[in-house]
Amino acid sequence: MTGIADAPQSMADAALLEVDELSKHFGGLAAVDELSFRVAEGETFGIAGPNGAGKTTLFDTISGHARATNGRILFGGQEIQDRSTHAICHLGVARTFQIPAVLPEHTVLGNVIVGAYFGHRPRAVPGLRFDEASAERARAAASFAGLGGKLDVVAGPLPLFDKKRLMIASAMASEPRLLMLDEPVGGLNHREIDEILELVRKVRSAGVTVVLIEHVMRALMSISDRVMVMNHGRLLFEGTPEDVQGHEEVIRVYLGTATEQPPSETAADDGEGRTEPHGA
Amino acid sequence: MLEVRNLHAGYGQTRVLAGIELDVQEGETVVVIGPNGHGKTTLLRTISGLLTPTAGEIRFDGRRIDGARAESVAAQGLVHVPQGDLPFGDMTVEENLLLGAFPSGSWGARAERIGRVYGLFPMLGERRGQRAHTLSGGERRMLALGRGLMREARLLMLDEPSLGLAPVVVNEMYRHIEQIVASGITLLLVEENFSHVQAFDARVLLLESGRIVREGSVSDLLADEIVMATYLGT
Repeated sequence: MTGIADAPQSMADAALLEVDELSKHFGGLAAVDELSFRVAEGETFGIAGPNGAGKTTLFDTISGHARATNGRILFGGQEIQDRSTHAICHLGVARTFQIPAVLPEHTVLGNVIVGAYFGHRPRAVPGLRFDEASAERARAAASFAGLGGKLDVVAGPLPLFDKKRLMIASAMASEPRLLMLDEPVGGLNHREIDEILELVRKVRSAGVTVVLIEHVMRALMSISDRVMVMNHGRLLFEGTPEDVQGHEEVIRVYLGTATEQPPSETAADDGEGRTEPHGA
Repeated sequence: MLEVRNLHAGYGQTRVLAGIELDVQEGETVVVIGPNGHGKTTLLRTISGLLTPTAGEIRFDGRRIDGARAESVAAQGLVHVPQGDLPFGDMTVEENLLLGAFPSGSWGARAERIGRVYGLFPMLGERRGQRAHTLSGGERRMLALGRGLMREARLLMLDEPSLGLAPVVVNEMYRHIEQIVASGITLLLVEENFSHVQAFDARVLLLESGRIVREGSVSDLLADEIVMATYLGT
């Protein structure tokens, strides 16, 4: 890796996201500690690391949910570390959360339209109703995430798999350039994980850069172009998914010695046979 | 030890459990698998008294516990570690753990048990004086699990203990769970991550649409192509 250059980057190696000596302290604890990395446009960048390594805090500082203590975050060349969450979203950064964040009383469409209307561009004076363009974007995003058949279903009682897809739909409805996913497959079964991975591939094909945090190695390794492993707020490893699995220090602090099953080939996906909950 | 007969439960108008039949013998390990949203978590919540069944019976050691309050079920030695973000944020890590031993007969053994929890999750020991809300999502999960292990359980119910934890922590935790099982404690486990379950001599139940639709040993289910493709990975 080259150092952080002050001169403008050439188009060839322009980073969409550039994190430069970023720190976030909580009292005496440096949750993120002088961390630097770059993510290129169109890349899928995976983040792993022990619990408490600072992964979610890193997401929070990028999305504006937490203020960086030191350092810079550049998105598309602009400094964003002091901007508000909605301003950062309007620049094209959208994210999901570890614990599903949905509006439980609202329908699937009602949730996604909030992302489509408020996430898309500034609404200093919101209208009295959502405009048709936002509704159309919301329907498209919900279908994109596989929720086209559940637009009128109230979100609160939805199973975890649907809530995870709903967060992705709401994020995509803001038409982001960068989508950040915090444990998108945690708690899902094998089949559901494959469906989320397929959805992330679609997001990538749509030209959106993806940064994801995940502990399910099968998922992280199969989807990421590059992987970063954090430990104590710092970068422990950065490289290809192949190289990370043989890295001694990563094995010691994170992966452990019990060998995981090798990533299996995705079973022929016929899209059928998934049982839906009955009796609702 | 645990008998569940024709159990029905749900939330408001939503029916989730639709006639569960379940027997767990003393010393046995039973694993419940199945798609999300089909009732695995609701089953554990209903057994432990967090949710009142709409119909059916639950017996623990022959005594009816359906409709009993959660604290009285726990006091009988049926301990449930739910999913989710449970610690009390303004209390320290250690205070949260001590709550797990309070107020039943586990209080006298709290020092020994807290030592075991710190042995299992060293991170919690390092952060014993920190308020729980400063922990990361995964650390809060460790704290919730640790708190459940502070109490003397005869039947332990764990709801997806591996969720959100680093692989190395999951390995360590499952080694600990194996020790718990070896010590004779009965285990009822909900777990999506089947690779960890394979080490147990467990009976596996497949729960779909609020019913147990299939049952067998780990090797039975590994031989079942449909179950393999859907839940376990081929």
